[in-house]
Amino acid sequence: MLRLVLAILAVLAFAQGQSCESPQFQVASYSTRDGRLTAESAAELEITVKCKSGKQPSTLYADINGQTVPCAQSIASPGKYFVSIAVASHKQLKTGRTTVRLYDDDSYSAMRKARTDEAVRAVKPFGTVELNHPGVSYGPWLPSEFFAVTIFGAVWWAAYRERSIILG
Amino acid sequence: MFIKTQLILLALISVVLSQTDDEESFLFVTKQTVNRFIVQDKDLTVKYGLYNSGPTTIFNVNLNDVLSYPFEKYDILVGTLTPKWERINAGSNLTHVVVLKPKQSGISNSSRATVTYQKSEKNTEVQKTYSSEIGDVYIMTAREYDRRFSSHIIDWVLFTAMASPCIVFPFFLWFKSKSKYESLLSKDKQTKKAQ
Repeated sequence: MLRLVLAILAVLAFAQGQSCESPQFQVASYSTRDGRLTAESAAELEITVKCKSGKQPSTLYADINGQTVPCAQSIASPGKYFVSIAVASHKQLKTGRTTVRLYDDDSYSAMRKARTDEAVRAVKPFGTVELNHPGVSYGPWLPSEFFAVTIFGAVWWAAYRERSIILG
Repeated sequence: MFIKTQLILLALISVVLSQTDDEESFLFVTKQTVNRFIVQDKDLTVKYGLYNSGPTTIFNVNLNDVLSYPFEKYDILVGTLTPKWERINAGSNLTHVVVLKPKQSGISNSSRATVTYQKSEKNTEVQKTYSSEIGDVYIMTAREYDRRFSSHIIDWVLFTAMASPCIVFPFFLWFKSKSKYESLLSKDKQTKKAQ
């Protein structure tokens, strides 16, 4: 019954021409990079969707590493979709580029209906965007005090050697 | 024995009471920051966790946290303080992240966010709930943070510049006399050879 309703809804949506064709994405991404400032890692994608027809998809779902979450929208900034990722430690957030697949209502329902992994993979996503996380830095590897002590130690050693030559 | 029966009765009553509500879901909202320190002009990442505890999907979820972070005191770098979701499925989690930049230092009160939602598609009554709150937070000045964590390279360069007269001046004196002595020595050798 639910399937039938969904199918009818999908047909209706298609008939009304609500589907967004050839969407263009503009992505602003953020991820925590300072390991001294933050205790956990978090990342966010701000996706601006532009459709040819001028209509926006009512909801978008994002698939990040096999987990599907609905994107947030804002009344203050229409046409923007927000995807958030939060993990408990810095190591858990994968460094480098992560592909995030976006689904609109139609493709999302198609994906939910798919039973096998192959069928899920066969569903064409609404679009794909990338999250680039360069990794977390903990500041310089050696502290500047180390270099200062080394330089002053070398100066002292040179002076002491000369002195012992003169006295010796 | 009596206490036991009472407990069983209580358990039964609570089960019955909880079952009357099984058509509706409740939303739990947490608000945390991932920052160890909150520093002026540096990123402040706030994380909201939404959890739909019930057996049904909830609809029209609107989160509003504009009051905690007024625009005179905070800049929004990424994200939004007024996110909305059309639905949150039963038993599912959702995270929302906002990145802010505090403009002022000092103590700031980071209070709770307000969330409104509908318990079901039919039930148009708007349900309101609040998130947990972070409370009073201390926003460090950028200088204080640098004192703790910056690499201090400029400090060390200045220190070297200030310490160098005490080292370079005696060295120069010594070097001068040494070169004078060595030139005398070599002259002596030359004259000895000539003789």
